[in-house]
Amino acid sequence: MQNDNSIGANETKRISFLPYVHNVDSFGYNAAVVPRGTAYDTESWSWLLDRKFSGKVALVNEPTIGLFDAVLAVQAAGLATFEDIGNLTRSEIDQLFRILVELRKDGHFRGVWSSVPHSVELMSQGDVAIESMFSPAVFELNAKGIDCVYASPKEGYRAWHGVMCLSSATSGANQDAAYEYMNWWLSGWPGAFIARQGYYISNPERSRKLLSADEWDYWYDGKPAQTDLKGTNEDVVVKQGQTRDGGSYEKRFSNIAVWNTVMNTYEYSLSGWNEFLSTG
Amino acid sequence: MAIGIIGYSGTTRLDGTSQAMQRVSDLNAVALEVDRDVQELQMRAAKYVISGHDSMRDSVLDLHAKLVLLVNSSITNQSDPEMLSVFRKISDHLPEYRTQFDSAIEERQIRTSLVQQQLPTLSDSIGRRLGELEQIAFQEKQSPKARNALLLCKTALSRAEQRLLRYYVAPDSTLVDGALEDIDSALTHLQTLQEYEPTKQLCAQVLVDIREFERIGMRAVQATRGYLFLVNVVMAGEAAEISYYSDRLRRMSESRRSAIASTVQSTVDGVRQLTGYGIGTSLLLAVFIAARLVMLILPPIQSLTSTFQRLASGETVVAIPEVERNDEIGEMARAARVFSDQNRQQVQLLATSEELGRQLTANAENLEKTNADLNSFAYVASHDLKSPLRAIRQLASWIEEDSGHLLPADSLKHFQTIEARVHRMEMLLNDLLQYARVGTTESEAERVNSATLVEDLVGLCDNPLRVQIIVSGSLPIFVTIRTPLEQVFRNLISNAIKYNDKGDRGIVQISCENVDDSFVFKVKDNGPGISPQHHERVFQMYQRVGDTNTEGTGMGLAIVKKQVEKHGGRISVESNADAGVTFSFSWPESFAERVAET
Repeated sequence: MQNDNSIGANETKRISFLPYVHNVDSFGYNAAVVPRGTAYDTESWSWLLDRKFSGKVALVNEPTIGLFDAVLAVQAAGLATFEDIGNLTRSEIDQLFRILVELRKDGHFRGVWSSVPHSVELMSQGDVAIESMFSPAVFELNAKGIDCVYASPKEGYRAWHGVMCLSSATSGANQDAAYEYMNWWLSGWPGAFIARQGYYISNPERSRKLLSADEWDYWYDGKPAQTDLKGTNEDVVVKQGQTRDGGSYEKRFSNIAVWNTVMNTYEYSLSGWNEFLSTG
Repeated sequence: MAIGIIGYSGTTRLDGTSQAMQRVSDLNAVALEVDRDVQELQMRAAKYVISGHDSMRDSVLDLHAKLVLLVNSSITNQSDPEMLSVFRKISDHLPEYRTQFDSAIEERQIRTSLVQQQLPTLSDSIGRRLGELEQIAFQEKQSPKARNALLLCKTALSRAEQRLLRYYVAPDSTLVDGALEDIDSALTHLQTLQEYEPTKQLCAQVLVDIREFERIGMRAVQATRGYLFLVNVVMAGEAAEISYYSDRLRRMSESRRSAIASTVQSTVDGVRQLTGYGIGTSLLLAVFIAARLVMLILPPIQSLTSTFQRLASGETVVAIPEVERNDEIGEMARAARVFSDQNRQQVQLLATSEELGRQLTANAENLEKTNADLNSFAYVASHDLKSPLRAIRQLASWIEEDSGHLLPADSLKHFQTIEARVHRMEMLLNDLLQYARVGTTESEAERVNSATLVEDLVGLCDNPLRVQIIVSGSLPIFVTIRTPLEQVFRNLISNAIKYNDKGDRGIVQISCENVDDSFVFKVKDNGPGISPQHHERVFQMYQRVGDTNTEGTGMGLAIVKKQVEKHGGRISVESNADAGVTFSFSWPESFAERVAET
């Protein structure tokens, strides 16, 4: 953070947030239902709106995330164009939800999911074939034997970077505990742990020593797995020979369509989201 | 009966499906109610977070409680595993919905408290302190810069408050950003005032107040965002899931309803088909039974009918069919057997009768043959004996003529006796010959005047005593064979004359009357009569009654009777002793016709 409280590139001793977990997200699809595409080539956000999968589509129930997925899908499908998909205007919000509500009326969406387990359940039960997805769900589904592909849309990912904030009002033991907590997150183990879910940590080198070379090669470098790789719950989530969808960290972060933000129209979008969810 | 069973079974199945349909219908109603209540719940929740009214909050809680009750009741009453699973899904979301709503209530109440109580209080406090600052600045005659900073601070703070209040009415992040900038601006301007000692302490207090204002204002923003997120996203998401599952319930119930309808249709079709089969089977069975009955009844009846026809035609049937049966046909058969027995007896009687007839015919033929032989013999004998008799009579005559004078008187008498006997023998032979000839001599029928015939005969008859011959009435003229009629009249008239004992007072009366197709001739005399006991005998051969001294052979009436009967007539005699005799005989009116009829 710059000295004038703005965010800038000049190094200062001031920080606003402590970066840690981040990733690039897209949608997952069940390759047993949706024909497998080619990363960055044929895979597209527009698949979420493909009528072939009508009734088998879900979005994450979080407007600050799901809205982006919807925007990317609508734009990729050519249904609308947006000036800045990271900061939609009210009219663009209206336009977006008009499209989404109509699709929902047509029964295109199975619904929304509110947690990773819920998203896993929807696909594993066959309720959905394609949906907004977080990385852990993809590998959990793979561990269950479901050929879930984490798409690498040609339009690019929705990127996000988690941060930890410390209130300036925090003090004393609470402040110490808060620092301990933030330090723990960057201590290496949590980074290695979340790497096995497909997430990245902001200080990966500290986690690398806690990952096997095969794990590192697969999760960060996008190389084919030399052995079966286990996830966070000891289940094999990657079979030998598989390559991570989208490739290496660099490759994936080189294909970003938008960074998650909280738009100025956030509150305005909530009522639209409610309308979208309430449409039967 | 089979059709009845099919109908009962079908009705039972339909009753079962009807109950299932009712359950599905109830389920559909529950699903609709759940969906409607969830929508209503969301609407009330939205109204609550806008208004913050407790009554609206309570209405949400009441409806939620009702929904929980409805779903739990449905779970208790539900036996379908699939349905139960869906109800449990709904049940899982309801507590989460309530939890989120409780959080929303909390946030809403926090915001209410902050916006309606703390923020205004603080704003007033800040306003008062800024007023004090203004007064001090005026009294101390501070520089325009300080007064301007104070003014800018007040303005910025006021703008921030306005933006925040606008945000609370119509949340918009730009208002928050603006408010924060305004607060920062106010603080910056306030820091300018801190440079002046008279206001330094008061400015520090205002600074704290503004920081608190910012904290409370932003907490209210956070609370607002919080309950807006809870209602519009989290609770809406839960409600959407509940709606999805209630819709799924409806689709399942619809599917069940369709399945039941299909089952009903299938049952109806099945019953219809089974009924059709039943009817078909019944018809086939009926046809079979009918055919069987026909086979059982018709052939026996036909056989019996045939038997009765044979029996009616008089035939005897040895083997009566169906006699052993114990039904009506058996009774008919036994009745037929009775007929048959009667026929058999009749046949036996007929056979006996025919046998007797044949025997009779044979006897008649034998008798006729015997008669013919006898006639032939009589004819031959009478004819062939006449010549020797004539020779004997001739020889006796010659001996008497040649040697009569040499012979003693006795011998001569003997010769006379011989002549007399020969003469009688000739008469006997003549009569016998005539008798034998009756019916053997065929003559042509001719027109005969019976009166002339009688007259001619009377003229030729030997009537030494002059017996009077009277023809009473007219005698007919008709076609007949003359000779037999002539012989009948000759014999009767000659007998009447010959045996009349009245001398010249003797009367023979001849008459005729037409009876039916015959003429009945009567020859009546006033002679000695014939005792009735001899009436039969007088028509027999060689039978004589009355005066035996009168010449005769006893063949005359036998010949008459034979002639009359031979020509189709009848002859009878009426007489009492001393009352004369009347012979009546009938003679066909038309011989030709009689011959033809015969």
